[in-house]
Amino acid sequence: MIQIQNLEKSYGKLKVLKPINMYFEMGKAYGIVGENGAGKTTLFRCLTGLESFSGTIDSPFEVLKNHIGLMETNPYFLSRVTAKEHLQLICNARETIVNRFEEKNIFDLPLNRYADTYSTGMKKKLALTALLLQNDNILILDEPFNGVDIHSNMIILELIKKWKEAGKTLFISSHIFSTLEETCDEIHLLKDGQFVQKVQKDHFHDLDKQMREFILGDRLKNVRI
Amino acid sequence: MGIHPFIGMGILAVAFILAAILLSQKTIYAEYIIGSLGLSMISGLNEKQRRDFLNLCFSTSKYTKIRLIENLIIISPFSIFLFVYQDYITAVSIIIISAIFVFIPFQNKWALTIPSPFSKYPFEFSMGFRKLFLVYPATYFFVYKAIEVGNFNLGIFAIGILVFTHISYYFKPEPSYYVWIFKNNPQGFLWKKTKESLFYSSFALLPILILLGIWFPDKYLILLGIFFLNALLMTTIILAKYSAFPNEISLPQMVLFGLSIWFPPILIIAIIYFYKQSLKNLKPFL
Repeated sequence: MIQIQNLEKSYGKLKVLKPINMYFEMGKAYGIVGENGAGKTTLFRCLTGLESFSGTIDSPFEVLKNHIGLMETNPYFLSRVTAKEHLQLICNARETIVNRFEEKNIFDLPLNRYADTYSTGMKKKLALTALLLQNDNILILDEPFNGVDIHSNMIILELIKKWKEAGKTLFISSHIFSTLEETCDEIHLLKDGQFVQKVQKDHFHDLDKQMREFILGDRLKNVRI
Repeated sequence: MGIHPFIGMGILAVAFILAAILLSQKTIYAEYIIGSLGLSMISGLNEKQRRDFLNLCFSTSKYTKIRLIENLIIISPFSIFLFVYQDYITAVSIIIISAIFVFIPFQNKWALTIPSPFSKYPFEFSMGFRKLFLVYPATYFFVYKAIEVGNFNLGIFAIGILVFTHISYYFKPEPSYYVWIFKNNPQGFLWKKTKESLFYSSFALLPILILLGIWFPDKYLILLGIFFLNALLMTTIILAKYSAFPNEISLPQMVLFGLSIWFPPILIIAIIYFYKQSLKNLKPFL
């Protein structure tokens, strides 16, 4: 179980995450939804240890970050480093041995091209390919479906299902509910740096209605077109 | 915080003049080396992303003016030095070439993937090699000339270029993700990085040392000393880099590193200091 206690994060005077207390069971898939700026990416970066924070995160692992695979919203790739070298770098860092990267190239990426010259979608696909090589217990996917073509979206969806079957713990942020409904066990709504609602799989059928109420509220009541 | 920019620029100017004087005393090819260094510095300003950004912000005429001014500012110390040394042809040539560079979009031509012999352990050497790959044939050319004319100092200078090129691969910090991804603790991480750099820098340096050792057998002790000094310098620059992480190496750290090159016994103090700082700075990410 991953137990988050009093997790807070501020940038100067701006409080991005208000005290968060939450637990996540291992082997489950969690969808995290929220508006832009709600704190999803910051939460993920705190979970990984890429951001400093106050509070505690307890896990069954001695060093949690060594068991986390992260796919950022906009993955950054070093200049003049080919995609293949990037994968090699990840393998060296994670101490995994892969003999043929081509076999793991499920998105048919041009691996000998410089990764920083890839399009946004290709960069995401490369970041996902890197996750395939890492064999981590926890996977954080920050908006994996955004900016990716429809064919790849289907591959990503199946990949997530496979990871889930393999008992991985997944955290997925997405603005596309259908994909979360299909893959997640729980969906958590994040608003202004706080979790405000939790929806279990059994209640996903009400999710659309709940989200409409949650997001729209009275927002468009006085708008005349 | 830090050193005032004017003081920093003063230190850089003095360091440049001293290095150039030393170079001109050591080899008869100093003017070509100084000219080449000046032009290689300009090529860094000509990257596609940078050019695209400037093109987006300014009209074509303003863009051309800005790029011309930039190139002339960078090339001027090299050119002035060559004028002072009365090598007018090289001095004027590098000014003309730097102006022509404004109109040549290099990146489009070099966008193809350059094969790197350093791909097994990315990224510093493979990235640096592709950025400065012309340094390698140039260095080997200088070594060839050193052997041809029997000038050992020119060979040493060629080694110096290579060592400093390798050192430059570690000037800029990578995004924190590329440190975080490592499974090692800070000590293990630093050891891994040092091992890789020693392996690759030796791989590039050894053929030159062996060649010079064959042609100048009486100088083998100097060559052996250079081999170990290279190992110490590579270790120090890696530690200096991570002692500032996630920021860039600061000027005081560079001054300490520079002093270590000038007087190698300082390396021991520098290594200990940088190592302690590195452990502290890497801990949050590892």
